[in-house]
Amino acid sequence: MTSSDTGSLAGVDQKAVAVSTTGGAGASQITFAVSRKHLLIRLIKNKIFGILTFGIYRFWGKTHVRRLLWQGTVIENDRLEYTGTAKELFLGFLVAMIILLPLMLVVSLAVKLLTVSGPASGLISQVANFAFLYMFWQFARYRLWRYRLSRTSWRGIRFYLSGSAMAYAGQVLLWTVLSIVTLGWAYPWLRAFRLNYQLNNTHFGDGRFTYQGTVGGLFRIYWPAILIAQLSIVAVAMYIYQTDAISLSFSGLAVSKSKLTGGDHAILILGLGGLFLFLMLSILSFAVRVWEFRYLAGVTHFLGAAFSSRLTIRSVLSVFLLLLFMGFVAYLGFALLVITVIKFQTSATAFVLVLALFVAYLGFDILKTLYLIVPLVSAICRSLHIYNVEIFEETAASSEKAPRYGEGFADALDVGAF
Amino acid sequence: MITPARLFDGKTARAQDVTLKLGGSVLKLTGETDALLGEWPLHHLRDENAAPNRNGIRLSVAPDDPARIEIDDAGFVEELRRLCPHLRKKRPAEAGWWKPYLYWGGGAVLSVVIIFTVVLPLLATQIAYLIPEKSRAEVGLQAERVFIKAIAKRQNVSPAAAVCRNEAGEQALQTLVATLGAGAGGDTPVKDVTVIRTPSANAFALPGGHLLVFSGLIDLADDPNSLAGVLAHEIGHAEFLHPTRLFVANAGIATVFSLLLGDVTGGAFLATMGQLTVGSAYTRDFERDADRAGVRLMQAANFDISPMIPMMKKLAAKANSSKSKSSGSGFSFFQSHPGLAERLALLDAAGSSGGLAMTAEGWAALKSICK
Repeated sequence: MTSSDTGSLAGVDQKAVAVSTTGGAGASQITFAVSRKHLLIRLIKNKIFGILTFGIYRFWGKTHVRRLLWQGTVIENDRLEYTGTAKELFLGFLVAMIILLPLMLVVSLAVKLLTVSGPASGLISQVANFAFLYMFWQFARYRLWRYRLSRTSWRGIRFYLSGSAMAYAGQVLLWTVLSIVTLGWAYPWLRAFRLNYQLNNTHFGDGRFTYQGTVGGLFRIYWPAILIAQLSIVAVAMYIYQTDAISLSFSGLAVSKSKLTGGDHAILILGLGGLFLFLMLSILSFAVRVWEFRYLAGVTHFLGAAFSSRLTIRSVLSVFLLLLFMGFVAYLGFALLVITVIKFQTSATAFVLVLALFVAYLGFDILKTLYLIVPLVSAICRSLHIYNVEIFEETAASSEKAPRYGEGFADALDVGAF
Repeated sequence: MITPARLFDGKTARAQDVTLKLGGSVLKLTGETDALLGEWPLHHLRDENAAPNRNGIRLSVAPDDPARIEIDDAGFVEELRRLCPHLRKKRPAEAGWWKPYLYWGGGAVLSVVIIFTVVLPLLATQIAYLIPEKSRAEVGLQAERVFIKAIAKRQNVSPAAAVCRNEAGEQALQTLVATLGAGAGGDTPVKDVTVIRTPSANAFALPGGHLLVFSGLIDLADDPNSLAGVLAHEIGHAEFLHPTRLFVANAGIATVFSLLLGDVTGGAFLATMGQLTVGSAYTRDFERDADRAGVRLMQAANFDISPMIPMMKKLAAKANSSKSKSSGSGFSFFQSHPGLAERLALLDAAGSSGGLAMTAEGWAALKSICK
């Protein structure tokens, strides 16, 4: 805790720290347990009905999955309840369509026009289009949280998210641009803004969560990762430059296909360099997220209740390794597919392969939910402790209105995992 | 039957210990001081658990009432399940439940229909004319390169070898195209015309006034006017900027479908199918316009169009026997066209006045352009 953190809730902070150092007495746990069998059956049903209805079933499917996942979360012996309905999601989708279709159509055609009109205007329009889509995506994501929280209730009281999705999206865009311009050094500020805005706007009944984290606290977590990431990028770039791998690999592609030449060697260097960077950045981003979660849990309060998390990298390592493994399998499978399609250029083989890829993709999606999302959420819940959970009992229902329809923008823009 | 249970009244997060009593058609809730807290009608009760829970039940009494009763007593739960067979059924829908579906669904469908039939064709046309001529030509040139490369690869020759270069033949073809293009009013819409060595009988208009003619088409033509008829049709496409309009419209169609399908698994596949369907509807309209333009250009140049009729029949027979493929941005002469009968009727109506489209020497030179 830095001195700037101690505000009116200082007394509570001290109490929470005291409790956590004396071995967690009085701390309440969150558990997450769902029946994999129920979930698997539900996911398979969703895929089948989804295909048969050209995707319209997704709103019903999602609602069923969420009811299962929410019910699997137990806080102080009481389960979360998901009260959203498929009807709300479907109508949200229809409303979003009416607004989004003309908007996106005009944007995409304007970008097309500027792109073919010349390289300079093309570049500007691409950047502007990206910024617009990125901001809209953030907007949709905030609305998605708002809907989900408003449909989450515990002990008969629901959560909700206040704040303006537009203001959130605008500021996230600003901090993202700054992060890019400063080569990553502004990234902790972006994270700080996100956590601050999101958590301080989260309510349970008539009580509000407070996040008291500082940029300094996040910076302490992020600076080694940013530095290491920059150094690895520079090292790989220097190595590739020194071995002249890029030009060699182009000449290698152009000339020889039979023997191992300098060009092949260069392609190998490029491949290994890319792999090294990919692994390095994945490990770093994974590690900092774990530490960030521990940090944010420690500086978040709800009235007099405090939280702490003992999430360790080891406890979620298997999830991370599985994610990497699945990524590699997908990459190899895709490469294999492309090679086969190029080699046997008949429509029959291409059709069979596309079908195989489609089935594999469906399987991947199911595996992802069962063996990545469920274990990850489970580890996060297990690591969390709540102190003074009795405070939650003092909470009364809020008169705040919940959104009527849900998630349409997020659905159309492909935001959100389940 | 009596059991202790916990009541969450939906007003505060504190659990109240209550005693439940089954009495006739209601579930009676009494508090710690034996005060009656409520009577929940049995036929309104529902279990809010996502999946049947062997150990307990979470009761609600009305769709918009957040109050819940948690019961753990297995015997009581069993009795309740026996008395209320509908515990896990959906509540009957309230009157008029379908109205928002109808309004918003109708609005969304209407918006998609209007976008595809009115807004997108209009926008695509406007934008096609807004794109500078140089940029259109650039797009067309790129498409042409891809096109030639693909054909050359299929025949195992270099791209340069796939293009027929014969000065006399090219000269004759250019004269014919220029004469036909002059009827389009203003500048000729055709920038260049290239003959490609490939047996399939086809011709394409690409963005920016690039025309591609397959040598198979020249081989199939018995006289200059039948070939000129096909070229006039393609020049018609170029005149109305059809290739550029389709190029722009495709981007719009892709946007609409990607939004409609959201995060559906296999959405990309469905989007492609949708794009092909809507795209071919647009091209059918374009083809009708190009057919009419073809007749007009032939008549403006005072060429007899009637030899097109046997040519059209030959092409139709050939198209049926072999499946000719084409790229998305080009206009093939035989692809997603209006019905053959309709096209022949248009040609019949055009009559058989006018002269030959080429001189005998020119025709001979063009016939041997790929030899």
